Amino acid sequence: MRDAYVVGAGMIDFGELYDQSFDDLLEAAYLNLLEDVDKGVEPSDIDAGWYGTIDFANEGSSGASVAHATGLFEKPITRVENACATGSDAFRNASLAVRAGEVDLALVIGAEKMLDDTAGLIQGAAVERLWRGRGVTMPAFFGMRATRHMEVYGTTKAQIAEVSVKNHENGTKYPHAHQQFECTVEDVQDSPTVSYPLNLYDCCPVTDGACAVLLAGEDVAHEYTDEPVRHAGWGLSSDTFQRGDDLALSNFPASRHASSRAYERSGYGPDDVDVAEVHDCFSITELITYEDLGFCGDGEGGEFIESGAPRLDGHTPVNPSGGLLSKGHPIGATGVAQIAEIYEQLRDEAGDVQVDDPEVGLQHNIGIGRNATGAVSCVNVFDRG
Amino acid sequence: MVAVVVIAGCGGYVPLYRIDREAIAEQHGGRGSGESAVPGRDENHVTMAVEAAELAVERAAVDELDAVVSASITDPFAEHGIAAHVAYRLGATGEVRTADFRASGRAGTDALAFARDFVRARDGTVLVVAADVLPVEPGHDDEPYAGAGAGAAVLVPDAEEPAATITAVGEATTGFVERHRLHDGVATGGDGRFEREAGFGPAVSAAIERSGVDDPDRAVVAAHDARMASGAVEDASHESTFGSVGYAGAASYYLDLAHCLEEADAGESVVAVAYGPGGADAVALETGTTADVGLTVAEQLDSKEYVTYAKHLEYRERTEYTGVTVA
Amino acid sequence: MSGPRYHRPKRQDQRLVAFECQSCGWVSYPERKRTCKGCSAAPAEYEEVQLQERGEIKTFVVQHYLPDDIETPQPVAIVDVPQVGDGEPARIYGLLAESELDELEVGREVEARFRELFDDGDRPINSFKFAVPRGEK
Repeated sequence: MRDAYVVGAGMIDFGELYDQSFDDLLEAAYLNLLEDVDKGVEPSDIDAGWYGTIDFANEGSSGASVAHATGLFEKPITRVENACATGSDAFRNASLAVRAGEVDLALVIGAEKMLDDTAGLIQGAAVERLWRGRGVTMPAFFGMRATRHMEVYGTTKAQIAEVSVKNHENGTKYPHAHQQFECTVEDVQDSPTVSYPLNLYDCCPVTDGACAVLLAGEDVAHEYTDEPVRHAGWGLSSDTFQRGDDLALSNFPASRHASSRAYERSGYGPDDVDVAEVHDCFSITELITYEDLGFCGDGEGGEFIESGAPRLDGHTPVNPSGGLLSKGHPIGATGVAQIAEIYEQLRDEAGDVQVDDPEVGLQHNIGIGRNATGAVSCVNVFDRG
Repeated sequence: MVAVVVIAGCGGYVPLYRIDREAIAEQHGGRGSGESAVPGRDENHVTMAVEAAELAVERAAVDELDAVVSASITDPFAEHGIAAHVAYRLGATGEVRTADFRASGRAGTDALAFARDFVRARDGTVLVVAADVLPVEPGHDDEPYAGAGAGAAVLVPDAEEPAATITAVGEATTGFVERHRLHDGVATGGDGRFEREAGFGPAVSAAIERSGVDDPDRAVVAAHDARMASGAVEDASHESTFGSVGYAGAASYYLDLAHCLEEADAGESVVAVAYGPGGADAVALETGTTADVGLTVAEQLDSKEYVTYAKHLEYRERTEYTGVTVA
Repeated sequence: MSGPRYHRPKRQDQRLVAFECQSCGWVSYPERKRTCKGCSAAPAEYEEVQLQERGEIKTFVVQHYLPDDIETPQPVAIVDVPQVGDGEPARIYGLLAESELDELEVGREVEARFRELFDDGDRPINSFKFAVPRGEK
């Protein structure tokens, strides 16, 4: 089986894009992608597309929506939905097809229009099914891990806040990030309580966005760029706290399963990762992800952030783009945008957030479904090929 | 036919929340003393009835119920009932009689008399449960006294250590109906003196006389007007939750009765009267021992949180849900 | 809204009936399952078990932003609800009633309380929430 390579990425500025429709977002990411490919690409070269969206805007968005937005008709375009791992799983599916040799050049595009109807974010907690997440919002689901982590490991609210401080600082240096401001631990702790123990600045903003990347088989990748980035490994896994494992109360076993498989497939381990874009929908999510990805030991996430290791100049820079906390979390676009950022990093094109000469990059999502009891994680590992 | 019927166990339920009657006076003028119970936003007639029923059943230590009887004057449903829901929750389905009594403050004793007759006729075990949330209209004279709560009793032919033995029931239907209330409305009472002289007095004294009680140690007199009720039975200690709970309709009778039986020593004589539109009933009891299970009414009266005037109004309203269905 | 959705799990919702996998002991609540989340047995053999009307908080949050029909602050917990008798507990979400942040901690014992969760049109859907014991208030 051949390898699959990323040969281009098209990012748009994330934000409150009230003047752009769902179609506009897709179109903008697609056009940016075409422009980004080093040696150029003809739309007719694209064999197939994978489209990641949870269709938060409820527009009945399907593969055909991408065809309408891009003009790529008569081609197989598949919509993928997998909670917060939607974009990264769309990418994974595209990569599998490329690796299998069925597709030479694949478009992966993720988009989410979050701000046309923000009521849904809160209203989802009014689910009329007992025991399946009534009254459980996203901040509650992740906040429960924070409470447990603080109880079991003595992690402090200040350590959790440090994640937000780091990512907001990075975000001010990353042009596509939605939130462009720095904050202190005190700012985080003084911001309004959203869901104890999480405050407002522990939570990612509500953001519109889209991103596209192009995947090519190893035998054709060099037709598009001399610096392709190899998709070296992947893992996808699901779990639920209901299974009874106490670890699922403070961490995400799904992230551990997914990253183990990705490490195994790529031949790399956590110590080999030079740069990571991980799922920081909330500050606590990134802190426990350090542990779940093996960047530090169990219960050491608080010390890890305090040590400065995940900072831009640290041992394992995490979320140089500012992460979801400052970049925003347009769900279908999120994973694709993380991959686009890893692509830039491994090509030394990340500007003010470029880390020092990275060889191996990792992308990670952890999400929950509508029933709010389970978790799904997708991890992709990249190298310079 | 069973001759004597005993209360194997009883129990009351008072919601956690209270409104200080002073807080109501501050809104609408006047003075207030005491407090009234306010149901939680997620409580309804069935949930409160279940709280009291579970306690009574546990204290009674009975395994099976042959009938579940409810009493309520404020159940918002014209069809739906309370008894069947409580029966299901307690596992009392199958060959089980249910009945829902309503429409008069006397519904509490209507249910008790029915239950006693059922026990005597069929040698069975009957749960009687009452739950009420009195509606309020801001500024109305009754607002400070609108209560909420539930109470329950389990009646059986005999028990080793009954909470009380029912020795007689005195009934007095007079047809005097002054106080009335439409669904969702507040009550119109008419002239209090008129009611006391033409309605309450004759009905209660006749009922007590027919119960055969002579010089009881304690009395329970449940009625919408606490002043009218107090002193209705000469020389007896009146057990009432009105000052802490307010008027909780049919539930007041069972709350007061549970409170009385919890506080009394064994071997005391009690008359427990309910008055409402149409007449009054007086139940004659001899106290036994109430099992030391769960919280007493007195303990629940002490366990409380005060709510603001706005919450007192909001909590009594039905919640408007705007849910999301999951396919 | 439809009746069958609430009729099907009524014994679980109102009587705390749960199901125990006979090969690994994992407890399913409220789903009456034929596959097992614990050992992945398919089909798994389940037997009914009765849960106790109490539980232990494993972790919790106190939410401040929720739909209008859910009062805030609203604590929500993951609760282990033990069986009557031996065996594993069911691990479930529990909405907490009448409980404040300063009364909550991991490991705290809570009572199951029968409450209205929402309604099915006009009809209240009653089931269990959890609360710090009333006697401690």
